[in-house]
Amino acid sequence: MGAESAVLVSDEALAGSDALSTAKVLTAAIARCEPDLILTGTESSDGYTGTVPAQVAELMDLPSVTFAKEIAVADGVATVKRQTEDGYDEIKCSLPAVVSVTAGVVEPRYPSFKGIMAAKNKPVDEVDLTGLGIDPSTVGWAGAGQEITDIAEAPAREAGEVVVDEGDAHERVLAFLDDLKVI
Amino acid sequence: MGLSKIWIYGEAKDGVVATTTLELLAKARTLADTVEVIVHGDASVLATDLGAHGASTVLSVGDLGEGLPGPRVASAIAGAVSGGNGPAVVLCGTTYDGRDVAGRLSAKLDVPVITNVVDLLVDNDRLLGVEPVFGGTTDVTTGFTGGGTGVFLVRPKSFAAEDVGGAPAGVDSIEVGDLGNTAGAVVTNRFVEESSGPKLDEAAIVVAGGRGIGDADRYEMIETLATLLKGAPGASRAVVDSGWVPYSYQVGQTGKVVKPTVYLACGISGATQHLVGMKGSQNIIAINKDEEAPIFGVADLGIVGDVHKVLPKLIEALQAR
Repeated sequence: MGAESAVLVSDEALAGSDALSTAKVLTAAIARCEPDLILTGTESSDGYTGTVPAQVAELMDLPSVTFAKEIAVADGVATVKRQTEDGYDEIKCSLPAVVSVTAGVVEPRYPSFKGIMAAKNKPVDEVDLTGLGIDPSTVGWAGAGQEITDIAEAPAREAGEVVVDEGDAHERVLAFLDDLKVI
Repeated sequence: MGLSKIWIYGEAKDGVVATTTLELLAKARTLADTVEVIVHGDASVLATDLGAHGASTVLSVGDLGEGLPGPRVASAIAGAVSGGNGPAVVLCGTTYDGRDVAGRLSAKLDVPVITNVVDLLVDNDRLLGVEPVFGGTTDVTTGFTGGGTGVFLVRPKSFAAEDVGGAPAGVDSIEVGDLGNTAGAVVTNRFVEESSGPKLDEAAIVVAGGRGIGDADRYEMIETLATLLKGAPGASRAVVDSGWVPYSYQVGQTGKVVKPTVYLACGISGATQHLVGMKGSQNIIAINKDEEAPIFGVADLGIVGDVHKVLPKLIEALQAR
């Protein structure tokens, strides 16, 4: 896809890390690379806290622009279209900076055969917590600042009637809306 | 009441308090003796509305100029906490700016954030957040283990805003600390995406289209139907990711949470991330070709059928009325 190199942080002590611990580890790993721009997604699809970009920015003493739907970089400045409740803001941000992007910000390129072959020789720097200078007791389960006090089944929403369309299903929808007096 | 003081990150636009902020106030005043709201800009224009909803004081970090709220608000709260004047709890809405504030504050205070909260409860003087997981089938309750200030991100529409007739809130300012390099982002222009009907998260009827609509051109029938029903058009993530409609249309985990009187899901299978955003609707109608689609598990009326056959007839019938 075009990456020059990668850093893989791997350590068993990271299991159970909350978003802040994740941000601390990423910050330590990113600091080794001294990038001009730190690009992230908006949120993970498991924890989906959506807080890591701002946490990384704060830990690194950097500005951040979250929820970017478009980004361009020129002359040491990032120009970003940031989602708002009713549209978007155009933002100029000095670099280095953290920018989190929303899905659809760009159409990913297809990896070329040449690129795939070249990727095999790109360096992957694998480090553990000690290598990053992070005390393992401050991350993972050991360093968690929150605890689960209860897990319960949520009140289920009852499924209603399901009908197969025989060409007149729209009448069922209309009747349903009529009953609610919303049309 | 278990907690002494809650602070809410208050959002407003053009002098009008955001509904999410009023929702947080409605819950917070049942949990703590004192509820204060921290805002930017002119706090005095917000004091009447915030006071009516239960806030005792509005604290302003001052005018942002064209800067973003995150660094300044987080700095002000962290400063108060380290000075011994901070609250027991900070509540932010799960909004664009709310997440910035919570994330930065979390790093400053060195406490994680309890996120995706849909309910709050006090247990032994500790605030706990309830978070739905696995597509809303399971509720997980979480609390902080340390004794310091806790930060919570609460999803919009978790509570009903309530005007309790409180006196206008007092107005005060709060000091912002040294921002270092964090304030380097500046808004140079603001764009409002025009939509003629009601707002997606306020509409009584939401008509949402999913991948089953087929392609961008045919999404138009969702817009047409929404207009006929005086509702708002919405979309699943698949449709937004495909670029058929702007992100502001998205309903679900990453998009908006909606609780309309009627939610009409068209060609939406009902991925867990989508269900989280619309399961609280009062009535759900789903139209989908696949009878196994998870959306039927939450629908009051499920139509197993082709949206391209059902919707045109529905539109025609409504136009004839």
